[in-house]
Amino acid sequence: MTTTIPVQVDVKAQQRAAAAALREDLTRRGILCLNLISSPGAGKTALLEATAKHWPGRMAVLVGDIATERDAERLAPFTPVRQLTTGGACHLEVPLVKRGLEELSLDGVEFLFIENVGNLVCPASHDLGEHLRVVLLSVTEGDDKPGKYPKAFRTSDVCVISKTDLLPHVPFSVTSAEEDARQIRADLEVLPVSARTGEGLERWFEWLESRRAGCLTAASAAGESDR
Amino acid sequence: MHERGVARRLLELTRELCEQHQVRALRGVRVEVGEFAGIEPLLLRSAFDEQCLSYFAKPVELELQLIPLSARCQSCGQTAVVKDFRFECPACAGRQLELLTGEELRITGLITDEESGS
Repeated sequence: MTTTIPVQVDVKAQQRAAAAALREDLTRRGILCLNLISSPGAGKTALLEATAKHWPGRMAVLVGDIATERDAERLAPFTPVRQLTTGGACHLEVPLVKRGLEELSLDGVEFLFIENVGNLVCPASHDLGEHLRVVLLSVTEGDDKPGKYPKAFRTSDVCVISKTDLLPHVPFSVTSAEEDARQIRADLEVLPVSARTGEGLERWFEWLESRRAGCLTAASAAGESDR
Repeated sequence: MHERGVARRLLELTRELCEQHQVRALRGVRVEVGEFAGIEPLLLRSAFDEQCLSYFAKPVELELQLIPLSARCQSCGQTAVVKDFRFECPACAGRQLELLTGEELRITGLITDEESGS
Protein backbone atom coordinates (compact mmCIF):
# COMPACT_ATOMS: atom_id res chain seq x y z
CA MET A 1 0.00 0.00 0.00
CA THR A 2 1.28 3.41 -0.85
CA THR A 3 -0.14 6.76 0.18
CA THR A 4 0.18 9.96 -1.78
CA ILE A 5 0.34 13.16 0.22
CA PRO A 6 -0.81 16.02 -2.00
CA VAL A 7 1.40 19.11 -1.95
CA GLN A 8 1.72 22.18 -4.18
CA VAL A 9 5.22 23.54 -4.36
CA ASP A 10 6.52 25.63 -7.22
CA VAL A 11 10.16 24.59 -7.64
CA LYS A 12 11.08 28.00 -9.04
CA ALA A 13 9.15 30.08 -6.49
CA GLN A 14 12.27 31.26 -4.68
CA GLN A 15 13.98 32.23 -7.91
CA ARG A 16 10.89 34.04 -9.13
CA ALA A 17 10.55 35.96 -5.87
CA ALA A 18 14.21 37.01 -5.96
CA ALA A 19 13.81 38.29 -9.53
CA ALA A 20 10.62 40.18 -8.65
CA ALA A 21 12.31 41.82 -5.65
CA LEU A 22 15.27 42.93 -7.75
CA ARG A 23 12.98 44.32 -10.45
CA GLU A 24 11.01 46.25 -7.85
CA ASP A 25 14.20 47.71 -6.41
CA LEU A 26 15.42 48.82 -9.84
CA THR A 27 12.02 50.33 -10.64
CA ARG A 28 12.16 52.34 -7.43
CA ARG A 29 15.53 53.70 -8.48
CA GLY A 30 14.22 54.66 -11.91
CA ILE A 31 16.41 52.14 -13.71
CA LEU A 32 15.12 50.17 -16.69
CA CYS A 33 16.76 46.75 -16.73
CA LEU A 34 17.20 44.83 -20.00
CA ASN A 35 18.30 41.22 -20.36
CA LEU A 36 20.06 40.63 -23.70
CA ILE A 37 20.03 37.09 -25.00
CA SER A 38 21.32 35.59 -28.25
CA SER A 39 23.57 32.91 -29.59
CA PRO A 40 27.33 33.53 -29.20
CA GLY A 41 28.67 36.12 -31.61
CA ALA A 42 25.32 37.69 -32.55
CA GLY A 43 26.61 41.13 -31.61
CA LYS A 44 25.34 41.81 -28.08
CA THR A 45 28.57 43.50 -27.04
CA ALA A 46 28.79 45.50 -30.27
CA LEU A 47 25.24 46.78 -29.74
CA LEU A 48 26.07 47.75 -26.15
CA GLU A 49 29.28 49.43 -27.26
CA ALA A 50 27.35 51.56 -29.75
CA THR A 51 24.71 52.32 -27.13
CA ALA A 52 27.30 53.30 -24.52
CA LYS A 53 29.03 55.67 -26.94
CA HIS A 54 25.69 57.33 -27.61
CA TRP A 55 24.70 57.57 -23.94
CA PRO A 56 27.77 58.22 -21.82
CA GLY A 57 26.88 58.23 -18.12
CA ARG A 58 23.32 57.01 -18.54
CA MET A 59 23.89 53.26 -18.51
CA ALA A 60 25.72 50.42 -16.82
CA VAL A 61 26.41 46.88 -17.97
CA LEU A 62 26.76 43.44 -16.42
CA VAL A 63 28.18 40.99 -18.89
CA GLY A 64 28.03 37.24 -18.50
CA ASP A 65 30.38 34.70 -20.03
CA ILE A 66 31.64 31.30 -19.09
CA ALA A 67 35.22 32.54 -19.00
CA THR A 68 37.44 35.61 -19.62
CA GLU A 69 36.94 39.34 -19.00
CA ARG A 70 37.06 40.13 -22.70
CA ASP A 71 33.65 41.73 -23.02
CA ALA A 72 34.09 43.88 -19.91
CA GLU A 73 37.48 45.05 -21.17
CA ARG A 74 35.90 45.94 -24.49
CA LEU A 75 33.09 47.95 -22.89
CA ALA A 76 35.07 49.56 -20.05
CA PRO A 77 36.29 52.61 -22.04
CA PHE A 78 32.66 53.62 -22.67
CA THR A 79 30.55 52.55 -19.69
CA PRO A 80 30.67 51.25 -16.12
CA VAL A 81 30.77 47.48 -16.52
CA ARG A 82 31.32 44.30 -14.49
CA GLN A 83 32.07 40.91 -15.92
CA LEU A 84 30.21 37.92 -14.48
CA THR A 85 31.95 34.65 -15.16
CA THR A 86 29.79 31.59 -14.66
CA GLY A 87 32.57 29.00 -14.69
CA GLY A 88 30.66 26.72 -17.02
CA ALA A 89 27.01 27.53 -16.29
CA CYS A 90 25.00 28.09 -19.45
CA HIS A 91 23.02 31.11 -18.21
CA LEU A 92 22.93 33.82 -15.55
CA GLU A 93 20.77 33.72 -12.45
CA VAL A 94 19.72 36.37 -9.95
CA PRO A 95 22.42 35.68 -7.30
CA LEU A 96 25.17 36.28 -9.87
CA VAL A 97 23.49 39.47 -11.04
CA LYS A 98 23.20 40.73 -7.47
CA ARG A 99 26.84 40.01 -6.79
CA GLY A 100 27.78 41.99 -9.90
CA LEU A 101 25.57 44.89 -8.82
CA GLU A 102 27.40 45.13 -5.49
CA GLU A 103 30.49 46.21 -7.42
CA LEU A 104 28.75 48.54 -9.85
CA SER A 105 27.70 52.07 -8.99
CA LEU A 106 24.23 52.80 -10.31
CA ASP A 107 24.16 56.49 -9.39
CA GLY A 108 22.53 58.42 -12.19
CA VAL A 109 22.10 55.27 -14.27
CA GLU A 110 18.88 55.03 -16.27
CA PHE A 111 19.51 51.80 -18.14
CA LEU A 112 21.05 48.62 -16.78
CA PHE A 113 21.91 46.10 -19.47
CA ILE A 114 22.59 42.50 -18.56
CA GLU A 115 24.36 40.71 -21.38
CA ASN A 116 23.55 37.04 -20.85
CA VAL A 117 25.77 34.09 -21.72
CA GLY A 118 25.60 33.46 -25.47
CA ASN A 119 22.95 30.76 -25.69
CA LEU A 120 19.40 30.83 -27.04
CA VAL A 121 18.18 27.99 -24.82
CA CYS A 122 18.67 28.23 -21.03
CA PRO A 123 18.66 32.02 -20.61
CA ALA A 124 15.06 32.00 -21.88
CA SER A 125 13.96 30.16 -18.73
CA HIS A 126 15.55 32.48 -16.17
CA ASP A 127 14.07 35.76 -15.03
CA LEU A 128 16.95 38.00 -13.91
CA GLY A 129 14.78 40.79 -12.59
CA GLU A 130 14.73 42.57 -15.94
CA HIS A 131 11.86 44.77 -17.11
CA LEU A 132 12.35 43.78 -20.72
CA ARG A 133 14.05 41.01 -22.61
CA VAL A 134 15.89 41.63 -25.85
CA VAL A 135 16.71 38.79 -28.23
CA LEU A 136 19.32 39.40 -30.92
CA LEU A 137 19.32 37.50 -34.17
CA SER A 138 22.24 38.22 -36.49
CA VAL A 139 21.68 37.89 -40.21
CA THR A 140 24.49 35.36 -40.52
CA GLU A 141 22.56 32.91 -38.30
CA GLY A 142 19.70 32.48 -40.75
CA ASP A 143 16.10 33.67 -40.82
CA ASP A 144 14.71 30.29 -39.69
CA LYS A 145 15.93 30.57 -36.11
CA PRO A 146 12.91 31.98 -34.25
CA GLY A 147 10.83 28.84 -34.80
CA LYS A 148 13.71 26.67 -33.62
CA TYR A 149 14.11 28.52 -30.32
CA PRO A 150 10.50 29.38 -29.48
CA LYS A 151 10.98 30.17 -25.81
CA ALA A 152 13.69 32.75 -26.44
CA PHE A 153 11.42 34.60 -28.86
CA ARG A 154 8.19 34.10 -26.92
CA THR A 155 9.63 35.58 -23.74
CA SER A 156 11.34 38.52 -25.44
CA ASP A 157 9.85 41.97 -25.92
CA VAL A 158 11.96 43.01 -28.86
CA CYS A 159 13.98 41.19 -31.49
CA VAL A 160 17.00 43.07 -32.73
CA ILE A 161 18.07 41.79 -36.12
CA SER A 162 21.78 42.56 -36.00
CA LYS A 163 24.58 42.92 -38.54
CA THR A 164 22.22 44.18 -41.24
CA ASP A 165 25.26 45.62 -43.06
CA LEU A 166 25.97 42.00 -44.08
CA LEU A 167 22.55 41.50 -45.68
CA PRO A 168 23.87 41.82 -49.25
CA HIS A 169 26.20 38.87 -48.60
CA VAL A 170 23.92 36.35 -46.88
CA PRO A 171 20.65 34.64 -47.80
CA PHE A 172 18.63 36.20 -44.97
CA SER A 173 15.18 37.70 -45.40
CA VAL A 174 14.24 40.19 -42.71
CA THR A 175 10.58 39.69 -43.64
CA SER A 176 10.79 35.89 -43.21
CA ALA A 177 12.54 36.23 -39.88
CA GLU A 178 9.93 38.72 -38.75
CA GLU A 179 7.07 36.46 -39.81
CA ASP A 180 8.61 33.45 -38.12
CA ALA A 181 9.15 35.42 -34.91
CA ARG A 182 5.63 36.87 -34.91
CA GLN A 183 4.18 33.37 -35.23
CA ILE A 184 5.64 32.83 -31.77
CA ARG A 185 4.90 36.24 -30.35
CA ALA A 186 2.49 38.35 -32.36
CA ASP A 187 3.36 41.67 -30.72
CA LEU A 188 7.12 41.17 -30.84
CA GLU A 189 8.84 44.38 -31.85
CA VAL A 190 11.46 43.85 -34.59
CA LEU A 191 14.36 46.28 -34.99
CA PRO A 192 16.91 45.74 -37.77
CA VAL A 193 20.22 47.26 -36.68
CA SER A 194 23.83 47.48 -37.78
CA ALA A 195 26.05 48.46 -34.87
CA ARG A 196 28.88 48.83 -37.36
CA THR A 197 27.32 51.39 -39.72
CA GLY A 198 24.86 52.81 -37.21
CA GLU A 199 21.87 51.98 -39.39
CA GLY A 200 18.77 51.42 -37.26
CA LEU A 201 20.42 52.56 -34.03
CA GLU A 202 18.23 55.64 -33.82
CA ARG A 203 15.11 53.43 -33.61
CA TRP A 204 16.79 51.28 -30.96
CA PHE A 205 17.51 54.36 -28.82
CA GLU A 206 13.96 55.64 -29.31
CA TRP A 207 12.55 52.25 -28.37
CA LEU A 208 14.63 52.18 -25.19
CA GLU A 209 13.60 55.72 -24.20
CA SER A 210 9.92 55.12 -24.77
CA ARG A 211 9.92 51.74 -23.04
CA ARG A 212 11.76 53.17 -20.05
CA ALA A 213 9.13 55.86 -19.65
CA GLY A 214 6.29 53.38 -20.21
CA CYS A 215 7.63 50.60 -18.04
CA LEU A 216 8.55 52.67 -15.06
CA THR A 217 5.24 54.56 -15.05
CA ALA A 218 3.22 51.37 -15.44
CA ALA A 219 5.25 49.60 -12.76
CA SER A 220 4.93 52.39 -10.25
CA ALA A 221 1.19 52.60 -10.95
CA ALA A 222 0.45 48.87 -10.82
CA GLY A 223 3.18 47.39 -8.63
CA GLU A 224 4.99 44.36 -9.95
CA SER A 225 4.68 43.05 -13.48
CA ASP A 226 3.74 39.40 -13.84
CA ARG A 227 6.75 38.14 -15.71
CA MET B 1 21.95 22.10 -19.74
CA HIS B 2 20.69 23.28 -16.34
CA GLU B 3 18.72 20.18 -15.39
CA ARG B 4 21.35 19.27 -12.78
CA GLY B 5 20.69 22.45 -10.84
CA VAL B 6 16.94 22.02 -11.19
CA ALA B 7 17.17 18.42 -9.94
CA ARG B 8 19.20 19.56 -6.95
CA ARG B 9 16.59 22.18 -6.04
CA LEU B 10 13.86 19.60 -6.52
CA LEU B 11 15.60 17.18 -4.17
CA GLU B 12 16.17 19.88 -1.54
CA LEU B 13 12.52 20.91 -1.62
CA THR B 14 11.38 17.28 -1.50
CA ARG B 15 13.50 16.67 1.58
CA GLU B 16 12.04 19.77 3.25
CA LEU B 17 8.52 18.59 2.41
CA CYS B 18 9.25 15.17 3.92
CA GLU B 19 10.30 16.84 7.15
CA GLN B 20 7.19 19.02 7.18
CA HIS B 21 4.90 16.08 6.56
CA GLN B 22 6.91 13.71 8.75
CA VAL B 23 7.48 11.23 5.95
CA ARG B 24 10.15 8.69 6.89
CA ALA B 25 9.90 6.27 3.99
CA LEU B 26 9.61 8.20 0.76
CA ARG B 27 8.98 6.00 -2.23
CA GLY B 28 8.46 8.61 -4.90
CA VAL B 29 7.77 12.23 -5.70
CA ARG B 30 5.25 13.47 -8.23
CA VAL B 31 6.29 16.46 -10.30
CA GLU B 32 4.48 18.38 -13.01
CA VAL B 33 6.67 19.61 -15.84
CA GLY B 34 5.27 21.95 -18.45
CA GLU B 35 6.19 21.47 -22.06
CA PHE B 36 7.34 25.10 -22.15
CA ALA B 37 9.23 25.05 -18.83
CA GLY B 38 12.58 24.73 -20.56
CA ILE B 39 13.18 21.33 -18.96
CA GLU B 40 13.94 18.16 -20.86
CA PRO B 41 12.20 15.37 -18.87
CA LEU B 42 14.76 12.69 -19.73
CA LEU B 43 17.65 14.86 -18.61
CA LEU B 44 15.81 15.89 -15.46
CA ARG B 45 15.20 12.26 -14.61
CA SER B 46 18.80 11.21 -15.06
CA ALA B 47 20.06 14.23 -13.08
CA PHE B 48 17.57 13.43 -10.32
CA ASP B 49 18.54 9.76 -10.14
CA GLU B 50 22.20 10.61 -10.19
CA GLN B 51 21.98 12.97 -7.21
CA CYS B 52 19.18 11.31 -5.27
CA LEU B 53 21.35 9.37 -2.85
CA SER B 54 23.03 12.57 -1.68
CA TYR B 55 19.65 13.58 -0.26
CA PHE B 56 17.88 10.32 0.60
CA ALA B 57 18.98 7.01 2.05
CA LYS B 58 17.14 5.04 -0.62
CA PRO B 59 16.39 5.73 -4.28
CA VAL B 60 13.27 7.84 -4.80
CA GLU B 61 11.17 7.42 -7.90
CA LEU B 62 10.56 10.60 -9.88
CA GLU B 63 7.03 10.45 -11.26
CA LEU B 64 6.80 13.05 -14.00
CA GLN B 65 3.49 14.39 -15.26
CA LEU B 66 3.94 16.29 -18.48
CA ILE B 67 1.68 19.29 -18.91
CA PRO B 68 0.95 20.40 -22.46
CA LEU B 69 1.26 23.98 -23.59
CA SER B 70 -2.21 25.51 -23.76
CA ALA B 71 -3.53 29.00 -24.28
CA ARG B 72 -6.63 31.14 -24.52
CA CYS B 73 -7.23 33.27 -27.60
CA GLN B 74 -7.68 36.89 -26.67
CA SER B 75 -9.81 37.55 -29.75
CA CYS B 76 -12.39 34.75 -29.60
CA GLY B 77 -11.85 33.21 -26.15
CA GLN B 78 -11.17 29.71 -27.48
CA THR B 79 -8.93 27.56 -25.28
CA ALA B 80 -6.65 25.11 -27.08
CA VAL B 81 -3.43 23.16 -26.90
CA VAL B 82 -0.59 24.92 -28.73
CA LYS B 83 1.00 22.45 -31.12
CA ASP B 84 4.60 22.69 -32.35
CA PHE B 85 4.97 26.08 -30.65
CA ARG B 86 2.88 27.75 -33.33
CA PHE B 87 1.02 30.32 -31.29
CA GLU B 88 -2.10 30.62 -33.40
CA CYS B 89 -5.74 30.08 -32.41
CA PRO B 90 -7.17 27.02 -34.21
CA ALA B 91 -10.63 28.62 -34.26
CA CYS B 92 -10.04 32.15 -35.53
CA ALA B 93 -6.29 32.19 -36.38
CA GLY B 94 -5.82 34.95 -33.78
CA ARG B 95 -2.24 35.29 -32.59
CA GLN B 96 -2.69 37.08 -29.30
CA LEU B 97 -2.70 34.10 -26.98
CA GLU B 98 -2.56 34.08 -23.22
CA LEU B 99 -0.70 31.04 -21.91
CA LEU B 100 -2.72 28.90 -19.49
CA THR B 101 -0.48 25.89 -18.90
CA GLY B 102 2.90 24.61 -19.99
CA GLU B 103 5.31 26.54 -17.77
CA GLU B 104 4.91 24.42 -14.62
CA LEU B 105 7.66 22.95 -12.55
CA ARG B 106 5.78 21.89 -9.46
CA ILE B 107 5.92 19.19 -6.81
CA THR B 108 2.39 17.86 -6.43
CA GLY B 109 2.70 14.72 -4.33
CA LEU B 110 4.85 12.70 -1.95
CA ILE B 111 4.39 8.96 -2.39
CA THR B 112 5.09 6.96 0.76
CA ASP B 113 4.83 3.41 2.01
CA GLU B 114 3.28 4.63 5.21
CA GLU B 115 -0.41 4.19 5.94
CA SER B 116 -1.46 7.81 6.27
CA GLY B 117 0.24 11.07 5.52
CA SER B 118 -0.05 14.39 7.25
